[in-house]
Amino acid sequence: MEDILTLKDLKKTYNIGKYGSFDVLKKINLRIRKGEFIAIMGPSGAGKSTLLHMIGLLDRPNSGEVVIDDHNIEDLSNRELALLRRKKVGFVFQSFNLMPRMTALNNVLLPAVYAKKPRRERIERAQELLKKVGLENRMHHKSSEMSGGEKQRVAIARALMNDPDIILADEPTGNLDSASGEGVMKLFHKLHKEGKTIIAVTHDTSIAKQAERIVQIKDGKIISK
Amino acid sequence: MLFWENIKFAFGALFANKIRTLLTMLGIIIGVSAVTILIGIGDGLRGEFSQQVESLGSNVLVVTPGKLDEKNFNPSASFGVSTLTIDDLNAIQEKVPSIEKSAPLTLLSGTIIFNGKAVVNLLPISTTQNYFSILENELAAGKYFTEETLQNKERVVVMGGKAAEQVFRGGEDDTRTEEELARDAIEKKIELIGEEFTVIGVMKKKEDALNFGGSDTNQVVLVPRDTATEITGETVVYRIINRVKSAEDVDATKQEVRETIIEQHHGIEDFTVLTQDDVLSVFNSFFNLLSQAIIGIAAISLIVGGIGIMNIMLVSVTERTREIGLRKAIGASGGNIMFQFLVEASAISVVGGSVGVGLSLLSGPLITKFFDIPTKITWEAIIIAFGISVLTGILFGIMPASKAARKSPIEALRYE
Repeated sequence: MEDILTLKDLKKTYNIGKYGSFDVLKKINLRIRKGEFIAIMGPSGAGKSTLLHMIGLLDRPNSGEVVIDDHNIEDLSNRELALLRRKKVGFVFQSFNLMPRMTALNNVLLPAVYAKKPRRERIERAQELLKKVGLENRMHHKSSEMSGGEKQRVAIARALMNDPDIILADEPTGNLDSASGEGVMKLFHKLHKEGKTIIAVTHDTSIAKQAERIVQIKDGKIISK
Repeated sequence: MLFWENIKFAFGALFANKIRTLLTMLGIIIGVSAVTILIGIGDGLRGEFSQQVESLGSNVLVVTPGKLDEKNFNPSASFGVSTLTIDDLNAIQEKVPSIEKSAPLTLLSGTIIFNGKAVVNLLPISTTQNYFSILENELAAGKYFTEETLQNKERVVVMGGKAAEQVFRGGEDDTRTEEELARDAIEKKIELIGEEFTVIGVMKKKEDALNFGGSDTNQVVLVPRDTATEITGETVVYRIINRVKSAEDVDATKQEVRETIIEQHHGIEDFTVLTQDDVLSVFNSFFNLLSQAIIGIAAISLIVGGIGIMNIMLVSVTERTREIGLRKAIGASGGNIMFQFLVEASAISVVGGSVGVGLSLLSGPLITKFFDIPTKITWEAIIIAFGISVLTGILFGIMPASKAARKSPIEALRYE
């Protein structure tokens, strides 16, 4: 299978004020193939989330390369990066990050608004996706009126809105009870079967075991992949 | 498409914080309505004054003491001691053939007393018989005084229509018409400057009477000049009004009158000859000054409103840091975020500006009704006030919006 994403000698340093700087990621090399289901594991502070943000084009490394679909992000402007992110990547967060005042449908629609899809087309797609995650009866409810499991399913539908190749999930079951967590994982398996590349950060081994490959990270370095 | 979505987002965010939004808008609402109303009052006064001045007639020349500079209106110039005399008037009549008639005006001090009761706000003036034809008054009853009246120093007065109302109207149950009241006034005795005078004539009320600081020409009580001089010993003249034979000669005649009086005053120009246009331009320059002051106040009040918007938008950007991060994560560019917050800031000023304009349209007529101040809310005033307010919203929205646009998505998502 072809690579969808390559990280080469990736280094990320955070300045922490007068205390100097802190290397979060040190020389990370990682190749992710199209259609893979990867779990990134490691203790807290290991750099999992930072790595995920790099993969998700939310941040730039201090040195090294991020190549996504033949685009080296070093060559892209912030605007081009935003356009690529909108097309390639869907995010699922631990704390859902939905707009509380908007309905489930409008939350799911949002990425298509920024991608300037026609109104009718995006409404149809959002309805279809909400059906897919089993929320056809909750479309017009505000996200603030929903349970955690429902919120995360709305977030997954939103991540799929622009039909990205990669779904990035940051502790997607971290705030859910085990039944809801299972439901969410089932959805990820379904998406994986449909050909999506899924990259999930977790420290829960039972979740990680469901992935095809586990990448262990500690102190900013990959210790097994 | 994104434009309409942004407007929806903006109003959604503004509705979510109703009281905060309303308070922020208040600055703009007050600013815009104050500006529109102030400009309206200025325009109203200017309109009314122009009408009054035009009622003077285009072939009337007024000589007034003190040197008025047409470019710099100085109200105190007309409060100086008058150096005009009856000799100046005689010189005008002798040496300027294009002058048809001239009349001196001298304000008399003291109130008018009728039946032991003082009546205030009237304009007792001593003048000659020429007054009536120069200002083209009409009689409601009785007669004007004549040259003989002056020569005989008769103790008589001719009253303006409104003056007669004020002195002789008994009260609200007095239902006499203007003419009946005028007829009844003839031969009545009133007391003025310590002497008793008989009313011999009452003039009809004029629509656009010239205002003299609270009293207008309908409120005059005219005393024959020679009679007044005999009683008070006062020979000074406060104004000389002149009728020019042909309106076309007004400017040339004005020059001749000016030269004649300079000669009379041994080369000193301590007076001003005004035509209707001069009076208009002097007052226009005064109103322009007023307009500039209003624009200054407008700028200040709208800047204050704009700072309010900027302040609340900065708070909003900080509060919604997570939302900004999320929007960026799902594909919003910095430009999208900037635009969203700019629309929000502009929405406050557009809605605030509209409410302000609405308020001024409602209150304009009320001010006219309850305070008797003419207001004329013009479209220009509305467009200026509204335009400036919208511009303010955009200008003061730029800083918070660009702050939002520059937020790093990571930092924003981490923000709790």
